[in-house]
Amino acid sequence: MNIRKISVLIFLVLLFSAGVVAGYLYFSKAFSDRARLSGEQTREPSDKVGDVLSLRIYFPEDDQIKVEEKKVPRKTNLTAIAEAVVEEYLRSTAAKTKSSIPKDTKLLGLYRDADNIIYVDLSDEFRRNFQGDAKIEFFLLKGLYESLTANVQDIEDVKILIEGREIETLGGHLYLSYPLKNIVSHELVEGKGIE
Amino acid sequence: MKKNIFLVIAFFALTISLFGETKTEILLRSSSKEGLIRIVLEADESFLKRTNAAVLSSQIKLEFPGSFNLAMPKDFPLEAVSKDKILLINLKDRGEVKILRLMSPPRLVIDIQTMEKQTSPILSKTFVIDPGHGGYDSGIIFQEFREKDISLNLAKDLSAALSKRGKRVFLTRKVDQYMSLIDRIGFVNQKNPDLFISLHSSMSENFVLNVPEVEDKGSNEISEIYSISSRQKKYIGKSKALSDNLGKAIKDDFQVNIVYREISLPILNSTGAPAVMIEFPAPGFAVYDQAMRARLIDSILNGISSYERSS
Repeated sequence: MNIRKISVLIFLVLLFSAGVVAGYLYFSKAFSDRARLSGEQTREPSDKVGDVLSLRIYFPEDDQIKVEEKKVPRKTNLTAIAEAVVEEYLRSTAAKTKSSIPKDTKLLGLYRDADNIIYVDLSDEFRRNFQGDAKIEFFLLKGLYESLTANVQDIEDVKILIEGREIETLGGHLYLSYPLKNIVSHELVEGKGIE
Repeated sequence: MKKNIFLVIAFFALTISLFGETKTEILLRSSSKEGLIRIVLEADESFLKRTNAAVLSSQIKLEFPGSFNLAMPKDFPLEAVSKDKILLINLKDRGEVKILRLMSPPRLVIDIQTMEKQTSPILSKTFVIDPGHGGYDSGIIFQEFREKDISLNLAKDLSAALSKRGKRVFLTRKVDQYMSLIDRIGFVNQKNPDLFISLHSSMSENFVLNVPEVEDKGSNEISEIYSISSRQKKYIGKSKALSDNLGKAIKDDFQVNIVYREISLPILNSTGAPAVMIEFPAPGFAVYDQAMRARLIDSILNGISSYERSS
C-alpha cells in the first residue's frame, strides 16, 4: 500500500465523520423547535391569532341603555366569562363621559351557586359614588343584568353584593335584597298623561 | 414733546379703564294671566346670583352687583324706576309676591298676585308624605344642595299646608335620618292613608311623575315588592289619575314639560292607597328657596283638589 492510497482513505473517513456530526446537529435542532412549538400550543390555546371571545355589553349611558360589542381573549370557564363581562361593563365609566356607572367601582369577586345565581361582589364605590334618580338606578342595574345574561349561558339570576355583603338599596329607589331579575325584567313606560 | 403726549394719552387711558365700568344688559319682560303678573329678568348668571331681591310694602327692590342697562317693553304693566345699581318696581295692589331664581337660561322670576287667591278644597283626610333618602343616603348632590334636604323641606311644607286645612298628615321621616325601604312601606300601610306622595329629585330639568308599573307577573315570593302587590292592585287606576292631575297642575303653574312614567318601585307598588312619586327638577336646574317651595306646594294642592273632583 503506498502513501497515496492511505491519504485517500484518511480523507474519506474524515469526510464521513463530518457528515455524521453535521446530520446530528441539524436534526437535533429541528426536533427541538417542533417540540417547543407543540408544547406552547397545548398550554395557551388563546395565544393563537383570532382566538377571541365577543361580548355584548349593555351600558347605561345618558339615561338609556346602549349595546356595544367587546372582544376579549377566549375563555371557556363560565365564571371567567362572567368576570370578563363585569370588568368590561365597569370599564365603560372611564371611556364615556355620560356613563352612569359609579366611578372607581371594582369587581371584588364573582361566585355561582347551585341554583345558577351569579353573585357579583362589587367595591363600595358602586354604592357610594352613585348619583341618579329612579330611572338611572333602574338602567344601571338592568345594564349589568342584561350584560351577564346575554353572554353567560344558563344563568338563572344575578345578585349584587357590596364588599361581600347584601345591601337593601343602591340609590334609595330599588330593593336589592332580592336578585335582579324581577327588579329589571320589565320595560319603563313614559308618556304625556292627560292633555 | 413726544414723550409728554404719550404720558397724557396713557393717563387718560388709565383713568378710563379705572372709572369706566362695563354695564350689564338686563332684559325685563312680563306676562299677565288670571290674577297673576309674571315679571322675568334675564341677565348673566353670575350677575343674577349676586342680585338681592326684597319685597317692601308697595315695591319690589332689586339691588344688582354692578351698574346695568335695562331693556323693557313699552307696555310693561308696572312702574319701574332704576337708579345706580337699584331697580324699584312699584306695585299697584299689594298681593302675594313670589321671587324665584331659575337657570337654563339664568333668570329671576317674580310672580305678583293681583287678586285674592282661591284655595282649592281638599276632601281626603289622611296623607302620608315620604321625603326620599336621608342620613348617609344624601341622594343627588349639586354643589352644597342635597336631595335629602330638599325633599324633607318640601315634605314639611306640604305637611304644614295640609295640616292648616285640618288634615291628618304623617311623614315617613321628620329629620335627617336613614330609613329603609321596608320600614317606609310598613309605616305607610300602618297609617292607612287616603293618599300617598313620595318626594324625590330627578336628574333632569323636568318634573317626573312616577306611578306603579301595571304589569302583573303573578304571585311569587317577591311579588309583594316588585309586582303590583295585592294592596296597590285595586288603586292603580286612582294612582294614575292622581299623577295626571298633579302633572297638569304643575305644568299650568311652571310652564314646563312633565314626564309621566310607569315604573316598578317598591315604595309605590306596595302601598295600599293611590300612590305617586313626584321627582322635582334636579338641584342644578332650580333653587328650592321658600318661594319656590311655596309655589310647588300650591301646585300639588291644586293637583290633589282636581284629582278629587275628577274621581
